[in-house]
Amino acid sequence: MAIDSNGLVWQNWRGAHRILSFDRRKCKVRNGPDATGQQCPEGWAVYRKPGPTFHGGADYSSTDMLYMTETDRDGLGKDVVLAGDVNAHSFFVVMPQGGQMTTLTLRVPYPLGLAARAGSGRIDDPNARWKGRGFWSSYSMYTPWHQEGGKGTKPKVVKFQVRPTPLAK
Amino acid sequence: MLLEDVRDGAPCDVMIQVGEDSLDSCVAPVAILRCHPHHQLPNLRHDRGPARTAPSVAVVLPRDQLPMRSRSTKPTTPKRRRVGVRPCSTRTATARSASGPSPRNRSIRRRTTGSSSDVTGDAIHPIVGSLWCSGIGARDTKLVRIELGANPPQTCKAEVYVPPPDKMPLPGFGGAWRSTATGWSGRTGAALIGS
Repeated sequence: MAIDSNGLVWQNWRGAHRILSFDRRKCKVRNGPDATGQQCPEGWAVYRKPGPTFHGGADYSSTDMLYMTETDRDGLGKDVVLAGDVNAHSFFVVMPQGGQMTTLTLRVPYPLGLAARAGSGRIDDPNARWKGRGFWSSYSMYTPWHQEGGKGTKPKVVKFQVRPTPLAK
Repeated sequence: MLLEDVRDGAPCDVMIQVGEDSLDSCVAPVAILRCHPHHQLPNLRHDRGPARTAPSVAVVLPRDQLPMRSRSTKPTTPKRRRVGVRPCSTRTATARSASGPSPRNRSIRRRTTGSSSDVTGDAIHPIVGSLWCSGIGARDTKLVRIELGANPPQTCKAEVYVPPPDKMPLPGFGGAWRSTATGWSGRTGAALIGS
C-alpha cells in the first residue's frame, strides 16, 4: 500500500492484474449506518495490467502476481506508482503524464527470473537529470537456482533509468 | 553494535519482551506507565527533531528497527521483571507525519490478542496524518482509514472502504477458483503453478 503526495491511496491485491487508486475526497458518504464499505464507488479508479490469464479461468485469473505497491519520488519521478510483477520479470507502473495516469511495463528480459518484491528510488547526481537518478530493485525469489544460470546463481541488483523522451541524452 | 555486545556483555533479545527489564534488550524500550499511548513518556533524546516525511518512514515495526546498544553490558540473568508494568501491548508501530510533529501521530499501539484480520500494508497519509491499512486474504480487499483524534484510543475513528465488484472482481490473494472448486495459484518465487 502506498499514498502519494496528493493523498491518493494505491493498492493492488495479489492475484489481480490491476492496481487501484482510492480518492477519499470524492466520497459523498464516509461514515454512518450506510458506510459498510461499498458506500463510495466513485472514489475508486482501476489501472489494469495486460497479461495472460489461466486457460479456462475467469477474466481476473492472471498468471502473474503483483507484489508490493509503492510510490516513487526520487528514481523515476514524483508520484510514480510501481508494483513488482512476480511471474512476469517486470514492474507494472502507473505514472502521471500529461495530466493523466498512464501505465507502463518495465521488463528485464535477461537474465530470466526477475521476481521483484520491492524497490527504492535514488538520486545520485541531481544535476545529471535522468542519468543521475534511478530506481533500484533486485532478484528477490526464494529459489535463485530457478533463475537463468541454474544452480549457483545468486540474486542480483537491478537499476532502472528512464529517458524522458526516447532521444534524450 | 551487536558484535560489541557479544564480546562485552551477555546475549540479549532482539525483540523487546513485555515487562522485561530494559537492560536485557538490544533495543531500549520506552517506559509505559499505564495502558494507553498518551501515558507514554516523551522520548526527547531520540525524537526531539522535526518529523520526517511520511513515505520515507511511514511505519516502523519492531522487527525492522536496527538494534541499539543496551544501556548496560553487564550480564543480567536471570531476567528480571519490572513491577507494576501492565503488558497491555506487545507490538508497537511508530508513525511520523509530514503534517507536523503531532504527539498523537508518533505512537500507535496495537493489541495483538484477539486480532482476526490480516493487514498486508499500511501507510500514513502525508497531508492529514491518518493511518491506512489494507486487508489481505481471501475476499479481504478492504481499506481501513484510522483517524486517531485528540485522545486515542478513545477518540479513534475508523472508516472502511471496499472496491465495487465491477472494479475488483477478484476474491484476493493470488488465486483463481474454477467452478470445480479447484484453486489455481502461481506462487511467489517459484516457477510452479499449484492447484
